[in-house]
Amino acid sequence: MSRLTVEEVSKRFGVVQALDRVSFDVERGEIHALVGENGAGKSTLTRIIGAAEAADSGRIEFEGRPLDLSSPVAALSAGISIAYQHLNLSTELTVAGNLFLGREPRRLLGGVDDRGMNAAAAVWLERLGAGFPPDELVEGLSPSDRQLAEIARALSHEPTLLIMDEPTSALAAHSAERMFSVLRELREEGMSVIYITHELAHVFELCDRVTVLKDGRSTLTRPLAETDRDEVIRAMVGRTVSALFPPRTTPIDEAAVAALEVRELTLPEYFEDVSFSIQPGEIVGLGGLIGSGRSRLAKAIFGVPPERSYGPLDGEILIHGEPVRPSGPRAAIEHGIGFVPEDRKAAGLVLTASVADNISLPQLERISTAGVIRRGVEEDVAGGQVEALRIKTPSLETEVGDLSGGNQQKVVLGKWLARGSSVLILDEPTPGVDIGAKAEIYALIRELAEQKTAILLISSDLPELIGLSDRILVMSRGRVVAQLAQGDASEESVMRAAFDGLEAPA
Amino acid sequence: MSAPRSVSKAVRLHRASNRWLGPLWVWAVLLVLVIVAIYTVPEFASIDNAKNILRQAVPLAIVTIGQTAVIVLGGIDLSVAAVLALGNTLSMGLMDGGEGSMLLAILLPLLAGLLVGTINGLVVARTAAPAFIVTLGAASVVQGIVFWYTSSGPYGSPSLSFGELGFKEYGPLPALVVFFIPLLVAGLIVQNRTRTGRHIYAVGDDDRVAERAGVHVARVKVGVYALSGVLAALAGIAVATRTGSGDPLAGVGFDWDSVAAAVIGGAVLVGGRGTIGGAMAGVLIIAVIDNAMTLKDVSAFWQSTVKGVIVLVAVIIAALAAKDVLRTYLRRGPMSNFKHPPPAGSASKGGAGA
Repeated sequence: MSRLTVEEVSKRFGVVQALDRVSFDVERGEIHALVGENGAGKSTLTRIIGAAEAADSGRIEFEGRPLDLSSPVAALSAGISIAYQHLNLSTELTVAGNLFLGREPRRLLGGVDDRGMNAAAAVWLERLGAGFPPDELVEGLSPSDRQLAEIARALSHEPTLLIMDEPTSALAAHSAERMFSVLRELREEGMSVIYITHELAHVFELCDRVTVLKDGRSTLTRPLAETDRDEVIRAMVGRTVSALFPPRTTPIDEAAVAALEVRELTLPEYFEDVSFSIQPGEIVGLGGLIGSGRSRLAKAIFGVPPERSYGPLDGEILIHGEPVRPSGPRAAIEHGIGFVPEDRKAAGLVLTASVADNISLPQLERISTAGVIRRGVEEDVAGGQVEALRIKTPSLETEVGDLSGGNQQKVVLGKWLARGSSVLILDEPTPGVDIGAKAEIYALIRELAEQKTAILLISSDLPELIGLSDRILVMSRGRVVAQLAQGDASEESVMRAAFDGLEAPA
Repeated sequence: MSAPRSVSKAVRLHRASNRWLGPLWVWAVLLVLVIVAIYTVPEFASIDNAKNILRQAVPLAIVTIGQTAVIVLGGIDLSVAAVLALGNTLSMGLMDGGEGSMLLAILLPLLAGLLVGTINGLVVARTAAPAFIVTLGAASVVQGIVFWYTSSGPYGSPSLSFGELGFKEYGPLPALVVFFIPLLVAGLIVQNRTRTGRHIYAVGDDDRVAERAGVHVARVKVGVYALSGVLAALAGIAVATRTGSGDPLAGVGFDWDSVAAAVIGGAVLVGGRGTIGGAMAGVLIIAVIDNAMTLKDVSAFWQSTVKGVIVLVAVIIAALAAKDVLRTYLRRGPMSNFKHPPPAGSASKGGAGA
């Protein structure tokens, strides 16, 4: 009998089919790898198993019985523990305090038994080879040690099914090795693991079977002894590139001064020594996995400081040959840089404001006199964009939040087009956008390039990245690890470069 | 290589001092203020004045214990002033100069405070409504009830034995202070030694993390707001020992002062940080400023301004410290996240080959 059986599970978010009849099973004492591109549905699947999300249809059986969990706490008491990739520790508590949060051992008079807690936590930390004591505050730990503490937390519940989401993304190499051997020991004792990762080498080193997700479907489930890296990568990316991408008609002017050039740009802990240039009218794609530093790089060029700084930005940024200092988005906009952020709802649009208000936001100076907005000019500017971009909206006064995802994204593009930005940075321009609107947005991007706008395109959607870009830079661990010309770029070559970057000695 | 079994003794000591006393710099600020007051206000440096300051500080200290817990939880309780007035007038109304109904005159106001606090907590925990607005609304409702109950004037009076408490002394300490000490000790123990205390910090730091770990987040929230309500009502009763009757405006200023004391003491309004110990230093700082300025005959308007400036400075320092901006600023100067491109020829080689 399998420990966990997932049968025909589907989940839809709006227009996005996150999971489409996914089936797989995990045996007792098995480490089962779950791999797939960004957005393939891995996180949704784990959230459904961990009761943080409900499936639309399908069945999940755990220990032979239908899994029906009302809360994360119920999952824990059923024997399912999850090691999250991101911040699941209370930074104000000690490591031991986190391991035992919600189930602190008590002494006779009701006080927390810190000594007992520390001793019990120390056992797990020692087993994992942690270099920090149990009474260290999480706040004082490095990202690598925090991840180790999170793994210790998940293990300390002594689950029968452990779900690990990218457990090695921040982990130092020797800690990863040590963790593997602990997982192998626990596997011998019958514990099952669902192991989600981008690092294929780890999959082959540690896991027994692999299930590949692609666009919400399970495309492959196989014992690792019977497959190889190429087959897994093919299962992850194998899809047909449709004719969504209009071809370039005017050649790039290689002799012109680069519209955007960065030299040896370094932001400690995020990216280092990145150099590249974009000619006017050229589209340069930035490929790589989430966490490779590409979004951070784009934000740094636009002048957005990181949430947590480990040191100053170093290196040079040149716009049309002129060194600039991106002190903030405002200065970047003045230098003619436009930025379409990853999360359009949080950072790209004022959802409760009208279409017209959103489009005029970056150019209020241009359309106002003595601080008063000239409505007529605003309507011309916004109306012009709505027409040029074929934004489907009942009126200019409609709230942007009421539009579809594709039309919202067009409003974000319209903001910068109306401004006439000569450098446009697009960070994931089409997530949650249906195929029709995608095609229109691609046509727009191409049209902009033909009109000499230099475009830096970040996309996890590989066909999009390859179809649009004149050149692709692949980033991994904060560095540019490969440069692929349009003819050489394929989904496999981009993924291969990204994975090779991960596996190369740091 | 095996890991150390524990953090170093020095770290443990530092942490323990921080847990029980709060940040030491706040106590240093208090010390400086006291020294300044001694040299500038002739009447300040006397045993009687010291007792007076402590006696006057007790009601704010009581409210601040609850307020600190609420702030650590990531909330704020702006209803404390109105609840204090409710406790004060209800208690005096029930006592009304007689000794007979003493027990009722103390228990009923506390129950009223518990009720208001519990409702605050339930609304905050069960809905997405911000604590700021919820408790502000509760303040308005409760203060209205107090005005109705008292017809907006002095109401009721303490019994003889109760009124004496305001002036009585046990040994060298005012009676109010003696009664307050067990409460403070209990607060410190809950904060530092119990599951509940641990859970308050965890919820304040990130309630999703706490929830996933199995903490009853809603229960913790309701409990803390309820505690704040009870303590505010208790402070109202304590205030009554020093006045001859119930006062519908007895709470004025306690909302702001209690938040200020907690924040000066190191609490951060987004939650997860703050200590009762530090907040007590904050209470004493406010009490010393109030006392010194009153002795100096500074007008009430300026007292408010001076206090406001001190609190704002403390809040700004705390906010900057939380964002690590201050440390970065002191080390490298403003906007250090973005350096000018180095002049041609001196281009630095940014950490290549790591």
